[in-house]
Amino acid sequence: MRLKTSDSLIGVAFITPAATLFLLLVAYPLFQSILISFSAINTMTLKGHYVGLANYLDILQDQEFWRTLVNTLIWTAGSLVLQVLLGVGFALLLHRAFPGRALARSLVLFPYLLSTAVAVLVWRWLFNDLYGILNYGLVHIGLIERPIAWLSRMPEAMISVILVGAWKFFPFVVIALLARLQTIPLQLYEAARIDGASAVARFWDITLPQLSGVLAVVVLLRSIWDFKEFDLVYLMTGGGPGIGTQTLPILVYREAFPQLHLGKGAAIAVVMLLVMLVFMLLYLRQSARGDER
Amino acid sequence: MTNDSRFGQQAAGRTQSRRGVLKMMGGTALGLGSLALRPRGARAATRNLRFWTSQTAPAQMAAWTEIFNAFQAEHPDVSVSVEKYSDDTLWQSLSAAYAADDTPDLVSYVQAYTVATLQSDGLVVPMDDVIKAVGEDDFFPAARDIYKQNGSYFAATLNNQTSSNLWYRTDLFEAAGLEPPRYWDELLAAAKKLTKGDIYGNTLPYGRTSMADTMMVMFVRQSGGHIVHPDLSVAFDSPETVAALEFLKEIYQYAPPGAASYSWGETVNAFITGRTACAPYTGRPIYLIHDKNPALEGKFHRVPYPHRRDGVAAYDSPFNSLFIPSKSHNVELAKQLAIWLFRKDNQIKVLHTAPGHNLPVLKSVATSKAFFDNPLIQAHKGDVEGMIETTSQSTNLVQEGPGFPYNLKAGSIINSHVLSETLQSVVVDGVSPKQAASQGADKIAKVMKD
Repeated sequence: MRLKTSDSLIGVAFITPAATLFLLLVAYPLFQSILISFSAINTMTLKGHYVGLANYLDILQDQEFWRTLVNTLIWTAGSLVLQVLLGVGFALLLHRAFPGRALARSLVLFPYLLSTAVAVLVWRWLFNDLYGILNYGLVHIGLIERPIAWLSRMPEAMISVILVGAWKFFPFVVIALLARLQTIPLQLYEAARIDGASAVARFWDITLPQLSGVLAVVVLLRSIWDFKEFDLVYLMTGGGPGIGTQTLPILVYREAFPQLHLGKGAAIAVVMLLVMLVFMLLYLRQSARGDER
Repeated sequence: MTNDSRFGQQAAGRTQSRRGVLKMMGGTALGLGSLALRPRGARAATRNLRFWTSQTAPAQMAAWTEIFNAFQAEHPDVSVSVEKYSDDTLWQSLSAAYAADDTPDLVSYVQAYTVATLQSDGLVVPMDDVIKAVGEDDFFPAARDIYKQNGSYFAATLNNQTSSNLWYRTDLFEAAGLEPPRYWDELLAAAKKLTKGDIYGNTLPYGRTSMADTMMVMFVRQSGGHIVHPDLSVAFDSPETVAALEFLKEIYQYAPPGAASYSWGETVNAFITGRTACAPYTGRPIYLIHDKNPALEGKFHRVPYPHRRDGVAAYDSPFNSLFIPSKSHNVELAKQLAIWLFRKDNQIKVLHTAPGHNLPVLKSVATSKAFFDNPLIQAHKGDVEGMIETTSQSTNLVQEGPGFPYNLKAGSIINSHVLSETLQSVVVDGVSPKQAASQGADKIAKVMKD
């Protein structure tokens, strides 16, 4: 069926605002970033010149970049695993009927709703070497003799950041899984019970397969978000000690601002984008599978 | 009249009222739109001067308000807004402001090395007329000339301070039979002896922060070394740097466990809360202890920071600047505000907000009765006079000593955190001081070349 010219124009009119916004807010900055990544530009003066692939060659030969990439993967994987474990555990718990369930479901969202700056401030005080309640408690009950430098030594600093990241973001997993849990037909569990399936068997054979689709999407989304997480890690440790907890977004920031290497910062950001593109393709594939089902 | 017609009338009335509201909203939007499109000068009768400062404690804000209110009274068409920046993120804030063409009109308390880098990129406005209006001869020479290049001043020192002080607990030292240390070995011995129970013998900032970077400059120089040679080639990879790193590594074991992430706040907090026997800092402990922990009043003093026995007594000062960014839209007005801040009464108002922390740079202020007319400065007169003496001997990485040329890359070296990273590699990663000095020198050379 051929569309009338007026229908086509209406179609164009409807799509124009979205397309314009996309071009202005996504395509143009992306194009600019890629363009800048081929230049040596001083962030203060914004003066510079074209250097071709020099920024990319520079970062690929830089040990700090590779160490930072490894840190980013450790942070992303560590935080993600804990978020999923906590998320699944809490979702299952909150799916059961118990007095105060509605309140518990609201409270579990608290870390996710809290501003990162505030959450980090609180955790930094908890971890503080001289006045932190964590060290105070551990010393008081005799588990340690001297306070632990939670944020100033490796691997303690990375472990602390991962723990706080998991605490902050696991409620997202809970929300997504809880919604899915409520749609699993109860008849499946009843049939399994009649067949003598244990609770563990019911979880592995019914719950987990039913959750797998949502879980895959959640894992991919959180991987992307954790991979580019800046504020939580930066505010917790500033990337230290040394570059022990420095992740790629922090490296981009350091190159672009303190070091004034805008081009090199942009090049690292483009490399990050390429890595995230892999996650994104997996996500799109998973979404397409979900649609087919 | 039927119910329907009444309903119709009511409905018409509502429609009319809704239209009225819509008209009003439309009118307001148009009005605001036209206001936004009007030229800047026509939109507001007053010109706004944006003043950046890192000094925004309540007493300091009160002083700025009082000073700027008086300025505004003399300039009715001008308003001054105070905006805060943090020392540790200043460089990033400045970069973003310059990149966005959204710089303030007058910036205060930025350290000399940063202003030098801005000057090298042509990002500051010359301030010769400000210095002349204040009185060139009234400045202490070191404070005045730190911003002089090729016969022209590109910034002015508003006031000064130094972290090259060792604050120590007199009660703990006396109880242990110790004298205030003059040399590193004495400080190390004292730190070892005084580390007991909840008290740490010594605190130093080992974090990847501006405090550790500037302290590293001091330690290398106190060891007899330099960061760069007089020909601006890198001098960091030297036996003196290795000796400084060895000392810092050894004394690290008597510092609080989190010292590897310490900056300004943590260092001074450890001292004023009584958890460390000594620590370097500016004069802030004088009023912080008075305000926060009076139990320590009368139990602390300062000495110039100890140096290596066969090294030199070298001290570092930031030379807190006033400068005008080249992208300011109100250069002439900003200069008038700068001159206003140098008025003797305004200088003293600012200095008294943090007694002992900020020190005078004008001789007429430093010798005035009014400056010493403050209970805390009176109570710690010896310490304050000692700090003024220390600042008069201080230098900065921009010019490491007599005969050294202006190092316009000083800001880049400090802000790259190469120096604190070198220190961290020794105390956190276990790299040997010799190897760390060599790696640090390579990194500095790269920064100098960029």
